[in-house]
Amino acid sequence: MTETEQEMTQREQCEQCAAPLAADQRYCVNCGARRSEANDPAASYFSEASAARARVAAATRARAAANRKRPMQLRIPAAVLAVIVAASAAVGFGLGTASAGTTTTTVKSAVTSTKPAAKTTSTSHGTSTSTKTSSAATGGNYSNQEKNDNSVVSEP
Amino acid sequence: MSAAELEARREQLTERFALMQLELGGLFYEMAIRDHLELDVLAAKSAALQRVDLELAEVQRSLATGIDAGV
Repeated sequence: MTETEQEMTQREQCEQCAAPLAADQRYCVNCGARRSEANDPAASYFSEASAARARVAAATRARAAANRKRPMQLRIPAAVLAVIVAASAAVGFGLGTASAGTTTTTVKSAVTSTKPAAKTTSTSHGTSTSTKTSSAATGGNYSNQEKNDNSVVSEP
Repeated sequence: MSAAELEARREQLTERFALMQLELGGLFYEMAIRDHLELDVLAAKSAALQRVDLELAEVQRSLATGIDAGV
């Protein structure tokens, strides 16, 4: 037996077509069959990714099943929320009905109570006074009016 | 076929398509580096891949139609 023939017998053969295969050969170039025992980084990468995807899918299914088993825990907060919303709506409606006729009066009294009294400023002569009424009754800005009041110079 | 069955079939075909395409690329690479291109082998593998691709497209079309119809 020659050396070449010995090499040929030691080399692996394709399982499908019996063509000789090199040690690092992943596919048979004669028939296209894939060697199952060959080191294929792409195949191992995708098989790991597939296993990881299967694990994630199983975990998702388990979570969904667990959520289906305890539906009351989801319904109780919804019921409590519905009661709170209904109670809030009832209280708001009651308050709105009670205060509907007195709104104008309340606003007017509030305006009157914040209306400042006439200011009296003494001059160095001590004789003159100046009065200025607030424009709050007409809807003016009271704080601005106060600033203006501070700038009023009394006449002799 | 129900929507769940169609989705399972789509998943199966997608995985098969990915694997076959991976093998086709690997086979071509193996032939190229050994300077042993067998075009008829590559064409046969491509034809098998094309069949899977067509079936996958059909399943996806059925799923889309079912979703449009509210199934």
